[in-house]
Amino acid sequence: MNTIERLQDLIHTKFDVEKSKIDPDAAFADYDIDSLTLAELIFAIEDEFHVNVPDSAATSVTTLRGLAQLLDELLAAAPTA
Amino acid sequence: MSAGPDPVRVGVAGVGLWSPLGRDLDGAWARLMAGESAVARMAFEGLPEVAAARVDGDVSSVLSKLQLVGTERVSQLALGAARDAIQDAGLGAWAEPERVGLYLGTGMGGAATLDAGYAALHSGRRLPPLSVPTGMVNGAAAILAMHCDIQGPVLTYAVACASSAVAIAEAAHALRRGEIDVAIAGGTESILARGTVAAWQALRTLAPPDASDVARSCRPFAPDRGGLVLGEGAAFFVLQREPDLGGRAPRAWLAGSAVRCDAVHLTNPNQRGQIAALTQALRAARLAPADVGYCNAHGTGTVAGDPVECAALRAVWGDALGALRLSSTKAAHGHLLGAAGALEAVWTVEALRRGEVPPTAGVSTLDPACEGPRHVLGSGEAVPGLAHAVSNSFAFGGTNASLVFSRV
Repeated sequence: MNTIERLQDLIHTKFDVEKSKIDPDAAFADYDIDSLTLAELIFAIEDEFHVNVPDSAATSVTTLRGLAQLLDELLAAAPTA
Repeated sequence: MSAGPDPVRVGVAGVGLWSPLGRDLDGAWARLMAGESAVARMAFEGLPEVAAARVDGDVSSVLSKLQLVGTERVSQLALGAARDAIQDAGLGAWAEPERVGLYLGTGMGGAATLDAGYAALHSGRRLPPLSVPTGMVNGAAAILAMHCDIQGPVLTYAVACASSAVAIAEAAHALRRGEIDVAIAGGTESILARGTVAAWQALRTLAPPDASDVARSCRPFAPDRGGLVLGEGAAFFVLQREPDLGGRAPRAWLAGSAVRCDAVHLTNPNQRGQIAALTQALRAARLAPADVGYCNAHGTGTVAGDPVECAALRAVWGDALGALRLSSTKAAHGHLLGAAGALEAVWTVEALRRGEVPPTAGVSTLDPACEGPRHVLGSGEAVPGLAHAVSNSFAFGGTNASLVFSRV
């Protein structure tokens, strides 16, 4: 499962958003993920992926694909993968 | 008595409750009248066992998973009860949402969220990101405003155990001022979390779970009473001015109210402030003490509190005290703190509507210091001529609120 699919799974499980609505290139707001929900999502991602997502991600990342890319970079830079 | 024209009447157009006795008014009332109690044992890690009254069932089902973000039990209970009240009033799609106000009382707001957050912090884990907006004291009010489209004043009253009685009183004032046309008024409390329960235990005010029958742990006015029992839940009224009821009969009229402070002690109750609240509420309702047939007491079941309330009633009612029926429904549902005034106002309104009064459940003998009023003990009692009733809420911090209701 790639990172986008893992994130789609997480969003579906945590917030009950239909997977078909989670377009990786759509704005989070298009499927009702607002700023507070994104903060909750990032908190859950940190637990699931064992990474620290920088605070700036909450504003600089606007799509799931962007978030997946950031996570892949963070995971690649982590001392132990 | 004050002179001047009769103020416009404010009616209770709808009622909603998510209480330890249930979420359905008729069912909860039947349990209350039968002298049942929802008080049960609860266990929290590392704490002595506690007697408490919980709301049964999954309260989070009130929202979708996505909508639950930023909410907690205190806001979920509030939303459930407020929606039921709005539906009971036959309202919901506001023509002018900016003319609808929310007056919400809560003692400790999102205490459970803060409790869980600090527990995480102190054990080396991270605080959840929404601890501030979920735990803030006006969090529940904000959630209600969003989901019920309330765009008028959205206010939170944090006046400890008088919070929701004060909220109801203030809502009626806003209606009489003409500031709004519809008021959603009540309270919510959810304090059955480890840290909050530990804080109450530390204050040495909680009744220990009764060894022979835990449901009888809270015994207001009884000689062997051992303190208060914590409860949780929410209750709301929809209030409207008489001309706005559209000919629909309200459940009762909110005839008058008063809020007065002892200004004496942080926690000890004091007759002076209670007498002032009762006297001024009767004055606002243009009633004499003898007109009032039932009092839903604050009656928490503490050694210190109950005799003071009875003494205040004695001072105000005088020779008429023997005809005043009195009960504390906290014996049945515990002390809902900031939501107590609203839930007990629901019972007071229902007593007037049905012409029957609920008992102090599980109590059969009285402390001589609490004698005087006509106590309703064990099970409820029919009072066909009941025309006016008062509900008392006396708070830590010294604020006393009395709400007077009249039969339609």
